[in-house]
Amino acid sequence: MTGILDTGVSGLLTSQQRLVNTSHNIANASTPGYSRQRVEVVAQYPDNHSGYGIGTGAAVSSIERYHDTFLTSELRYVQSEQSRLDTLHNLASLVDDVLADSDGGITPALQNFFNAVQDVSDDPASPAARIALLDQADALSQRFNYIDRRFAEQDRQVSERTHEIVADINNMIVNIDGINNDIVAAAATGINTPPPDLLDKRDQLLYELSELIDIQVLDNANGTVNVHIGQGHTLLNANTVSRLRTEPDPANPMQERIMFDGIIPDIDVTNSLSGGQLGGVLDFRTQMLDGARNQLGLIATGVATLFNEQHQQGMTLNGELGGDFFQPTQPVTVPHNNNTGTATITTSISDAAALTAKNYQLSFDGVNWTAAATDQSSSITGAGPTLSIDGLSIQVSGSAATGDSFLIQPTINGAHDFKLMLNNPDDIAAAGPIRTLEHQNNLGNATVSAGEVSDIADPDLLVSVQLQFNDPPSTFDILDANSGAVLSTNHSFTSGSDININGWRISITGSPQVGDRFNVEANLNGTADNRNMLSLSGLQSKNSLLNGTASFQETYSTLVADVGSRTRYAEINRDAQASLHSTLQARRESNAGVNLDEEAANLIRFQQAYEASARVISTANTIFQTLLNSF
Amino acid sequence: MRVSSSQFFLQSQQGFQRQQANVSELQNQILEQKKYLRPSDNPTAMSRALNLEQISAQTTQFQENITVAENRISLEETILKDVTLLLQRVRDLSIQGNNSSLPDASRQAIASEVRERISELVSLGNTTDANGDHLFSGHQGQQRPFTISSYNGTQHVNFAGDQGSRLVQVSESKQIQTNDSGFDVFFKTASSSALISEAMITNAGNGTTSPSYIFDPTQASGNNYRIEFTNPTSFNIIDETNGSTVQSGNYAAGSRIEFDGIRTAINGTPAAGDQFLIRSGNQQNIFLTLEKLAATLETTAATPTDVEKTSAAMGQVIDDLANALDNVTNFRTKTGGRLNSLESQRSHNESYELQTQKTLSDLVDLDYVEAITQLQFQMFALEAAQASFAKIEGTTLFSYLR
Repeated sequence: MTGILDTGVSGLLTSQQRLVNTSHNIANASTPGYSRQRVEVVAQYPDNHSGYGIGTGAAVSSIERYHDTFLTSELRYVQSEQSRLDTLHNLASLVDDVLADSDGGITPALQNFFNAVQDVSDDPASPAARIALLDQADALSQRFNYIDRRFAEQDRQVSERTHEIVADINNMIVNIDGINNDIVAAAATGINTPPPDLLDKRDQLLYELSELIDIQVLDNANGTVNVHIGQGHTLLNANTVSRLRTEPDPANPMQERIMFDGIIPDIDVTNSLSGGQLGGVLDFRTQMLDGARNQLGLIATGVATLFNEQHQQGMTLNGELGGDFFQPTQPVTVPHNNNTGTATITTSISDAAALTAKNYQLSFDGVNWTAAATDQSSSITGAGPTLSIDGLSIQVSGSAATGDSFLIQPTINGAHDFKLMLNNPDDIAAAGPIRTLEHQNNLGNATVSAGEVSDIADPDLLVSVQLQFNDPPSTFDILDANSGAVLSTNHSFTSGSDININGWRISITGSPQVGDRFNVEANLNGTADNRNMLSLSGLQSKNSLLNGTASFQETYSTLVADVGSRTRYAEINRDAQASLHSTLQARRESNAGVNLDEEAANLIRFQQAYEASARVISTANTIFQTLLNSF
Repeated sequence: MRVSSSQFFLQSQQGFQRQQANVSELQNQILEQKKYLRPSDNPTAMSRALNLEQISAQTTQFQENITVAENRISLEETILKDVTLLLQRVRDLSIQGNNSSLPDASRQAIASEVRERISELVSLGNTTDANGDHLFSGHQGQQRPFTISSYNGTQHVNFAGDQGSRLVQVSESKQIQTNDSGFDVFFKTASSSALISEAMITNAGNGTTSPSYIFDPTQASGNNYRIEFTNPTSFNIIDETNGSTVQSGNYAAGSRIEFDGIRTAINGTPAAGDQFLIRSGNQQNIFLTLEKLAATLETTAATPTDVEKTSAAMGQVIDDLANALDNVTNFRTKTGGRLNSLESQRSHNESYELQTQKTLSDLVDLDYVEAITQLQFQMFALEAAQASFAKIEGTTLFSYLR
């Protein structure tokens, strides 16, 4: 008789458990990472009744979650990659957007600047045109400075994000360790299967950790997990919780490296980390930002250096040789923090046309110096003290210790340091420094070329001289044009060939006669002369950068195309990864997600079971009453 | 396949976001009137577009340069036309004056018109362009190229500019010269009777000679001469061919010196031992030709000797004037040629610009029809998704559990 009652009560209890479980599922229908749970019910051990067993009802054996280990780890991996690409794409879009602004990019500023150069060339004496040129030069420098500031700001954000992400990773590892301990503790209280909600919570934390960095997870027999990053560095196991930290890279203190704090000595894991937001941030810096900044700097350095070089070949309104139009930009040389020698390095630009947007490492092996591009595309080895590579001249002084190294960043500050130097419009060197004159009393038909400068540094460049033809006129003497003093005699003459003296180059064509004279003099008061301005405006279309393959504008367009392609590539990959992620997410949800309709049906089913069990008890009661009443 | 409830919401949500992003992207394209909003939308097209923008801006600047060049060359052309007319008038006057029966008074009258013409020619030579730069002074725009110095009533014109010229960029590879030096236009005129006169560069004093000319071809020897100062106030004129002293004289600043049919003058303060050379040359400046004409007309032609002298001198002047006209015409031809090539460059630039704009437009301009059709389709898709979500979302078994 009690059998019916006990069996009924066991049904009542299991149904109750199932209803509780169903409401737990409903309650967690939208909890991230929740896996629906089911109550495992088994028939109770039968009673032995004179040789046959009779059922004694149902009992809950365990609470299980719907879970697919393979899907979970696959989803973590995909999430890690997805989040890396998403971060990379988001950051890349910022650079992309900086360059996207067609009114704000370098192109219009460069055009306006060179148009102003041509306006001065059209009317070299005009103060208005000269002032406009200085204004446009200033606008160009502001444009370079502005874009560089945006890049610098992004670089700063990369540093900040790196710090934040590393801190988040450390926190999460501590939390995961906490759950590991809870699971072990739960096992100690006699619960033999780990509580599903703890497992879910840990899976969710691991999933969120994989958003930050790519991890490998190993399950242990006691229900805990180990977490590894990079090339097998153990962030978490049963005994230890390790930490990551950031510190300035000794090779380049402007950027940070990531140190694994677990073992002594700490090791640099920056290059072995991958995936997640951290991977995305680091990839953004190395694959995009550094390159874009250097490339922009290359253009700025090219404009400043080449414009200055040509400007110095001219003469100002005041009759002086042209000075620096823009502030000259210098390569940055950073010594490695661990250097023990006393060597100092001075790097200067020897040929702007040969410059690249790369960085270089200079290292000393005890005998020789080696300068190599960080992508190993070019290198040079020598004993010093001067090394030349890709348009750079590297000057070594002092004594280095074996293993000392230096980082050379030729163009990183190019756009930052781009600045107009001239402030007096009269100092624009529009004219050529010399002019040539054919003497009005010449008898021959020879004419003289306008002349050009071959060596601006020649101290005698601006000395006025007279070339006077001898008898026979196959040679000429050179006289001081003012005093008539003979400076040198018997230069041989060939019609049309170059005559190089005092840093200038002229040619005399035709047949001079005895006594014919030609003067070369400083182009004083040459206010209407625009020869140097024409040469300056020629720089706009000249393929003067990247070893004579690209103009300033084309180099900028290459930068835009480069940034655009990388952003697009990141976007395409991210989208592909996102759809893979969705598919996996759907499969996980399909297995483990809560379906409310299903739960509603379960609710009805278990309610009916509950009611049926209750009916069993009331039936038992009725039978019992019937029995009692029969006495 | 089993679908979880949160998955259904999540998927719908992602779908809406995606579609809304598409709609907003299309709307941005329409607002910006651009096919691509950022380099990553089409890196190749965007970078090509930037290069084309530079080409277009450059071409526009070249067109402006052409206008500047055209103004300058047209101005020179106008001046050269006036110079031609002036020289033609002077040639007529010289022919008119080269008549032995003409009374002195009429010759004087013609001479005074010639003198008028000289100052007119000087002012033509000193023309400035719109920016105040002298057209004929070479590089030294602020320098008046032609200055008159007076030697005892005789006026001589000096050239104070230089031989520089200014080029203007009219296409990426082409430059056009926009001026000629006054030296070439007014001074480099061939002449068979030209003289060269100059102070030795080694002179200690600051004496200068005026340009010299043959006023009496019947006396001219064709030899070279040297005027040598024995002391600051007296000089000897030595015929360099035979070493003989032709004439000795006392120096008065600016006064005429005449010997062997040659007329010259010395000004300033010569020192003892200073030398001035007078030799035969082959080019004579236009102003001197006109001066010689005026001076010849001012000489009386009373005796047959006088007539012979003046008509010989007039013959030289008429030859020189013809050469001067040839020279100026030569420069007019050049300016005309430059104007022509500017014009053809302008139309070449125009069609190049048109082509560039078309390529640029094909590359980056928005195709409105396509964009708006797309927008409508995207909005339709979004609305359909929203409507179906609202319908499906309402169906839950819990609604029936009452």
